[in-house]
Amino acid sequence: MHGISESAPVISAPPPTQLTGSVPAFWPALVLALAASCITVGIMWDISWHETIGRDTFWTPAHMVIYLGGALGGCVGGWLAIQNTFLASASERAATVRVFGARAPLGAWVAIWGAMAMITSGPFDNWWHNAYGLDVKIISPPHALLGLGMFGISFGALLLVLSRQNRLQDGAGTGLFIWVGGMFTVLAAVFVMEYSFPNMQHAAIFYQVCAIQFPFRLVCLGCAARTSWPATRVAAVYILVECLMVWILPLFPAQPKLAPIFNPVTHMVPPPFPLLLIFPAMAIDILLRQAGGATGWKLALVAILLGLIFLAVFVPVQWFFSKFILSPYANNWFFVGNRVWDYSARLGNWTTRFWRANPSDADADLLTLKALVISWGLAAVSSWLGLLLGGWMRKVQR
Amino acid sequence: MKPRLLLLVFLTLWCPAPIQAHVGSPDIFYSGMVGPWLTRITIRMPGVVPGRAEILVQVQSREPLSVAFTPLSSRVALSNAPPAELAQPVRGETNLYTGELWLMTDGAYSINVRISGSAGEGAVQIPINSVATTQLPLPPFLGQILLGLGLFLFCAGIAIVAAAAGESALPPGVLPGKAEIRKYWKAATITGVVLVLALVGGRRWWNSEEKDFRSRLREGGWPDLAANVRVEGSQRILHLVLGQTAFASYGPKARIELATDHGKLLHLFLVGQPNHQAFAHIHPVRQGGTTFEVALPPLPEGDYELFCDLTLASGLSSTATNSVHLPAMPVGAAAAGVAVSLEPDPDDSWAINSAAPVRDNSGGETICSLPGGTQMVWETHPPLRAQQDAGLQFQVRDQSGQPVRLEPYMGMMSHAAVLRSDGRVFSHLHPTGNFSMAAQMVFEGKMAKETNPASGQGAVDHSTVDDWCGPGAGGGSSFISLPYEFPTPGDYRVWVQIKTDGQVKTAVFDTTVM
Repeated sequence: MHGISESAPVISAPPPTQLTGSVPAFWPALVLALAASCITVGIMWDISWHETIGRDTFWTPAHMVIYLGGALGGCVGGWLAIQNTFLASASERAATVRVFGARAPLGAWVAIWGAMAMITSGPFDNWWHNAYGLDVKIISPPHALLGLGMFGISFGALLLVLSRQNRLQDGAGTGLFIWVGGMFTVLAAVFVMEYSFPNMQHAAIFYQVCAIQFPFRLVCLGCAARTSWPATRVAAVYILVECLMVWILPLFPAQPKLAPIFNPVTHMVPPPFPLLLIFPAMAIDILLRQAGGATGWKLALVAILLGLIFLAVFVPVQWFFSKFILSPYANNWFFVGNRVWDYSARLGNWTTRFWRANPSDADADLLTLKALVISWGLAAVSSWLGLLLGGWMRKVQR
Repeated sequence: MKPRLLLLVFLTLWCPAPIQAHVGSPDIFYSGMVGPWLTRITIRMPGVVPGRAEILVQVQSREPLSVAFTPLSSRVALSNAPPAELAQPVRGETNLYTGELWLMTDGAYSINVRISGSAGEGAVQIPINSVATTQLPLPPFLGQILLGLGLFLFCAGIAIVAAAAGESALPPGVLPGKAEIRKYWKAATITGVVLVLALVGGRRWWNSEEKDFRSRLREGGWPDLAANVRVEGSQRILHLVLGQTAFASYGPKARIELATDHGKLLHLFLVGQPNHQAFAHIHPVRQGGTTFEVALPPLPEGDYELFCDLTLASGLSSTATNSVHLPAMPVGAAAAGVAVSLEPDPDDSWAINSAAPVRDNSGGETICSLPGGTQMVWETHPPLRAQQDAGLQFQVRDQSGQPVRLEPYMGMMSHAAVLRSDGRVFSHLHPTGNFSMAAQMVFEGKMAKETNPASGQGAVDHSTVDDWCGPGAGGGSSFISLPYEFPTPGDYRVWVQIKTDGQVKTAVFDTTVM
């Protein structure tokens, strides 16, 4: 594809080179994108399952979708490793990287690693349940390993698309890249869900967690993509996928099968309405376009500015939007304001109040100037890492 | 830190620890009528919360039945209980049903077991404690698998990042130069350091989770029990303080609210050390919010282990443990006729070598001679194995071998206590099972109140109704059946208490469980 409007790379890419390797096949990236989508949808479905029905088994549909994602990622990565190591021509092998003596595209290796991490987390998580209790927390060591595995598969998909794009110097697969980037961002949002409920959005910890998670991803994807408004598009996919889950899940009747039930829900519980990342993403895109070619200390300066602009847009947007979400006006099927509570929640005024935002609270965590500065620092570091990774991703050819 | 070292640290942390609850015997057994059917129910408790309880229901009926379970929490209205879970028949069996329930929070629960068939319908409440009792070790084979996978991820992570730094940005066909090789090793080194730091951080995280879990773990007796003995006139008074540490946050004037079990707030068992030669089952009375006292029976001087059964008003039952030294009996003062300061409970009972322990003979009857020429016969049963029906069936006979009519003792045809030789397993049994009848009453009262608040009817206190002799035994029968499974292998002593001719008698058996 030619003639697309690209965002200017912050870190310049090498000049076009004469291809010595053959044009890589498109289908592995497509299957890995499907794997990443399965994982993302599966994990959101599984969380809703736990919040609604409570009880699960190894064989729940949500788990099956996650396993399918892991299996697809592992199989595609494994096949690419076998094919490129034993069956490929010299020119095909020349477009791969070597790991443990075998050859495959970098994205395939990352996907294999992700699948192995997911496999490892299985028995680890099963034992963890027996040792410490069933899914007491979303964020636990085995779940962290599972999350890393999921990250690996979605990142592997991104790398496969990118290596093809970077070698051909065109925008083929941009849609796929944006889609997988969206999944990549949804996964980040899922992992910080415990900190990002609307009720938490007047507490400092929410902004600090988001400052760690989102600038890194949006900046990195914004640098690596070969299209206009990449971070904005990725954020739009994130919002679309989250909204679809928010709207579709409550269509299915379900009831809790565990005690104690304080909130007798009758349909699948949706996640809260997504964060309005599209606004800070637009700001990031604009700044990235203006700051092309930065290196060294200028790159650090760009990161500091990116962190600042992210918070400058994100904080007021979420501050006021969360007020709306907690208001009666948002208590409808579209915004699911007060419909996100699981079967074990004792409903009360606390569901429409901000948590940790009252100075008299024992666990108060106010968004003070100091907290904002800390958030800025975190967002700057996150952006700097995103710039470095994104700059490298733009150069990946294998 | 290398994964192997990490794993060793973790394995050290998770060295096998005894399962402790009631004490060391967490599973619950019930035997009795459910509607028109004689039923035996086993609830295998999870060692953690949240966890899955496995339920087995054996019904004496050959007709197909519908068996359903519902977990009821003491803190939740019945209207908010989940839908009943249908038990599945066990393949190849005509009267055995099984299912599992998830218990999500700490606290008192009751499992409502409902059976229905053409002959009618019936239900029973079986109280359970949902508490973490087990520190599960990491099985060695799983440790090895995780170690192998972890090692692969560690090495592969370094290799992939190194390859990414060294080769991935090169156009196809271009071989890595010196600069790329330098990048390769630099990336490998940095990734190695990052992964090691991640492992160290992971270890700290894991330790933090472990610490949090251990703070909720109820190993051994609970709550804490302080005990001392003072001599007052002709009596030795045992003074107990419950939960000085466990309930410290409630302040010095806290009052521990207890439900009565067989009409008593506490059932205290004293077992003489070191050979368990003396045994007493006594009932302290409240002296303050958390203090209780009891006049000790004429047990010989020495060290004693204490096992104190109690049921909180919420329905949560527990056993507090400690040990105490009993001074010699104040013979002189007693002879001088000093008035007693604390009246003994009329249901207190004890045994001091009155019946020498009899070694269980699984191949035939085992006979323990009791005072007055009575005999208790442990009927023939297969060799005892852990977590299998112990077949604790006894018959009481007179000197001529004729069955003796048993009288209720605190509403039961029998009370029994089981103690493993190392003191790590203790259980208090009745013909109905090993659950707390006080807790059962709490839940029956809750159900009655919530289903028909206008009636004002509470639950029947089975434990104080002297004509309620326990299912499977029959009023006035000479037979006793105690549903129980020994939790772990080891040497056990079993005390079985019965009442005949107005006297409580205690038979003592020793047995080995494989």
